[in-house]
Amino acid sequence: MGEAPDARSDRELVREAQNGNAQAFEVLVARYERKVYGLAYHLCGDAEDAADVAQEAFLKAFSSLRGFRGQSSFSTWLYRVTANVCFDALRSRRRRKTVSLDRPAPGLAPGGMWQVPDTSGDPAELVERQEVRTAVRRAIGRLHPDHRMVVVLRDLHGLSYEEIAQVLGLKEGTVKSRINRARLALRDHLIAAELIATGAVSRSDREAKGAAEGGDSR
Amino acid sequence: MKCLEALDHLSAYLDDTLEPGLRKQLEQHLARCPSCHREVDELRATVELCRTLPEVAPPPGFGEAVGRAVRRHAAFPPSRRRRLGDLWARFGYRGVAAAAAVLVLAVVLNQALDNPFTLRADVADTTEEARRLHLDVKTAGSSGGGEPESALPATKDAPAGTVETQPELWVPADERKIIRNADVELAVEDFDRAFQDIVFLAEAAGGYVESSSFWKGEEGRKGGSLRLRVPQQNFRTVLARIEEKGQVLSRNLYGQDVTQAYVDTDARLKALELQEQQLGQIMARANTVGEVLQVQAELGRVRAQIESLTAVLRNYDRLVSFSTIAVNLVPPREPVPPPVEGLWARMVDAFLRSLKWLLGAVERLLVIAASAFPLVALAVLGYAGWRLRRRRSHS
Repeated sequence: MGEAPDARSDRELVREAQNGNAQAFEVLVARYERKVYGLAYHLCGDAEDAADVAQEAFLKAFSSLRGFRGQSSFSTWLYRVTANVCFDALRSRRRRKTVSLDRPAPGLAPGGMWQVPDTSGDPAELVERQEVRTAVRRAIGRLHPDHRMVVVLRDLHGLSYEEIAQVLGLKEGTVKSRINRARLALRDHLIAAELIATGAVSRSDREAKGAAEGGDSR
Repeated sequence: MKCLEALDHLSAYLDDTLEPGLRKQLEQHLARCPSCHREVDELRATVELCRTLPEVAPPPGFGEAVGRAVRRHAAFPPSRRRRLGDLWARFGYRGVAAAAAVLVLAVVLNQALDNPFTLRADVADTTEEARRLHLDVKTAGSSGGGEPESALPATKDAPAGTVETQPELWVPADERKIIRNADVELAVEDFDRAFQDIVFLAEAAGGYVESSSFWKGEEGRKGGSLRLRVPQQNFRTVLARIEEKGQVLSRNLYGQDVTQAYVDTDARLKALELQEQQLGQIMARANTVGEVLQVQAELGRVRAQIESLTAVLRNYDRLVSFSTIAVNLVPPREPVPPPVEGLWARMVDAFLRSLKWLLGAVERLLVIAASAFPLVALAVLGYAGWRLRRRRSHS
């Protein structure tokens, strides 16, 4: 991604890649690698597996690019391909080993993630801290894959309900209720990990309160 | 709005995707209900924690690696043929389990298909075994003890045993009435020839073939059975000549001594004939019609009895004068190899035998595979259809 951003749109690049231009597809890879890898990472919970799955997703996208007719945006379609590859990988992986985000992410200080996170201090700083992030990812990893998928797509990748419905091939109503259930489950895991307190006053609430009360609260 | 309904809409509320009417109702509920309010706060905190997570960066060089893979893929698209490892990754233990299930089913099916024949073969074996066991046990009546080979009874022999069991009446040996039977099982190389020879033998000896049948087994091997009736005086000769046609697997000789019954019947017949004679004399002296009628009635009764007894005696004569030989012809069995001497020869022998066994196993496996084929084809078809539908619904 070091080069100057390509001016061509996704649609143009897709059309070129469909005509066998691998280079055009590589531009798309550079454009979406973080999203595809991120999804794979959160679904698989393992950096090594995630790289494999993400590469497989790109290869699958490339080989089935002809089947993409532009009914949705390329990114939605790519998410869809990646999601399918992830689910396939999870299915085959379940036979070999259990999925877990408990393993320390690469670059994390050894044993760091096993410490009970210190939740004192400002929440804004809280999420800055590596161990807190890891603990949140770990909580996400404890979710059922279906729930994990919607939480990651909605809250980490910011997809709309409609896009998620397209990615997963579900009705929007189903997506809505699934997101709700997934978040409630995640909330329970986060409470169990003491990352949020029951009846927590969220950051935005606090800010709102702080603004309303002229900053002299607490 | 109830709490339960409110709970369903909390996420949509946070994501601001609720329609205005519903949103208003929910807000009213939240204002009144502290527990739902707390829920929404917790969910909001949850979402915030997620949203503040930084994007995960792929490992360095990831994009380049994917690019290389894509270029390789573009240059050499992988063939549709899947490697074994891919098959494993795709089907895993479920595939193996399914294959095993199909195999087991095939074996069971194979067994079920095979069993009638196996059973029949077993039964045949048992009867054959029994026949061999009874080889000399049943040669009762006339033949004495000793080896069956040498104990081919002289037709008019009177063994001591017979005398002992029938002490009340002693009949000279050459006047004994014995119905002779023989069952012989022969292994023959050339079934057709042996069959014809035996028929010819029976007819040449003044006998005839009462019944015959043959069957065709695997590898075109034939077997069959004949039931011969030959004159008693030729019984031994014919039997000996038949046994020359092949290898004797079993011989069963048995006779039924009907002397006692024959003599009894004969005595009664003689008595009746005497009675008839006397009645004839009485008839000559009869004076009145009443007397004549009375003697005639008595004569008729005696005549009927004489005729019935004569028929019985004639039947005995027929049975005694013609002996029955049942011949069973079977294909020769695999010769049992003589024990092999010497280390090297034994090694070679063992090697060849295990090789033979292996080939046999492969053969059986192939047969099983063949019987499993329809099932496998069905399963593959079903799976392909299912995948096609799934792929259609996906893209």
